[in-house]
Amino acid sequence: MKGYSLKRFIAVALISVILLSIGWDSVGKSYNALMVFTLSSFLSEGTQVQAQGHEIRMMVRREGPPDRTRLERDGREIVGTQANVDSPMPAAQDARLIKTPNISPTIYFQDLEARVAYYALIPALALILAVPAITLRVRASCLVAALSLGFCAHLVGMYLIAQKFTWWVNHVAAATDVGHANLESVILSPYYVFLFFSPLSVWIPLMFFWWRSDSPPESS
Amino acid sequence: MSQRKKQASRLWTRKGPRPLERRVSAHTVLLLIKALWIRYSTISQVLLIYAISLFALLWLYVELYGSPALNTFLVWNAEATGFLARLFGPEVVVQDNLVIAGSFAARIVPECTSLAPLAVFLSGVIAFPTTLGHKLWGIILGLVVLSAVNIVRTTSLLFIGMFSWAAQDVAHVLVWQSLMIILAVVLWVLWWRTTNSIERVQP
Repeated sequence: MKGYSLKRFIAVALISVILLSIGWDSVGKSYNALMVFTLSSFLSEGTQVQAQGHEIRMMVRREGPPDRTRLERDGREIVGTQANVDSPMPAAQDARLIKTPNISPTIYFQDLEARVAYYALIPALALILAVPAITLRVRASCLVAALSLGFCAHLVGMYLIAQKFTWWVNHVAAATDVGHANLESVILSPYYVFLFFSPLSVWIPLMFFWWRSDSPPESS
Repeated sequence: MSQRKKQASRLWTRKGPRPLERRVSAHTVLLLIKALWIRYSTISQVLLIYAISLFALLWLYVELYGSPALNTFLVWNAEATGFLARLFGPEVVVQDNLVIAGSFAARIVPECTSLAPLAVFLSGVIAFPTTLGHKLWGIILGLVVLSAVNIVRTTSLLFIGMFSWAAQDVAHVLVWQSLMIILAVVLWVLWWRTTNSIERVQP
């Protein structure tokens, strides 16, 4: 690309990252509040989300015992579910038919650090600001696209996390797990990955168009 | 009503285009798709391979959670951070993946490693159409540079945390994580430019 300077690209990207990070520390709270407000309208009754600064608190209320009950028969652990009714194993049938523990309604909650979930927006915006030789109009369009795509991706990601958390509370959580649920390895990792990298997809086409314009013309 | 208007009204009342028109429009669409494919096939393939590689590597990253191999890698990262921090003076103790410097302690978790930025970089290297040798050189470059810079990152966060918890929070969650992604992209650009110039020089 003519007139392209790698040093300038790196300098603009670094300065943008630092400025955007400092800015996000205050603007991010409003973004988080907007995200939670939008997300609330899509969630079912019994599932609530709250914005607490940079944190998102998800709360799910379960009225009865979980659908799955962990029991032990002859030294082996059996998970009692509806599917066990059709099981040929007598022990599994017993597990399902046994009276489930009578527990009172329970509220489970899960806190998420929103800055960790949203941070991919910062390098995405910084890269769009730093990419050389594009017009102001294209740059502005890309910034709007990154923000819009980022917001939609974060919304979908948070919705999936809320759905998975609700499912876990209603089906798996044991009566002894009252209160805070530590689900980091169960539900958060896959969706965090989705949350991280979706806004970054905005700059990928930019980079490849840049690469193509720098490549020698293909022989026909 | 004029003759032209009568013809036009007959055209409007007819149900759908004639078979010939349908064939022509389908043919035009096919030609358009073919032209677009010829124009953008290389970029489309690169983007597709990039997306598949990134997805596969991130899936692998998630699958590695809690595995002995990843735990060993975390301990290695903690040891390297402790070693680098000791070079600058403070008393640092490392216990498994926990690094303690004075009253500040940091636990090295998978997000603290260079694995996620490496996934971004390696996907770019895998997707770029070049020789296997150039790709191998790119993979080694990314592994060495990103791992080294990541040790600098964790060490700097340890020092920032010793003096200011608030600054450490912003530096940890926002600044350094973003800088690692930027570094992965810059490395990829450098590697691509070097590869491109070598291929142009070669006959």
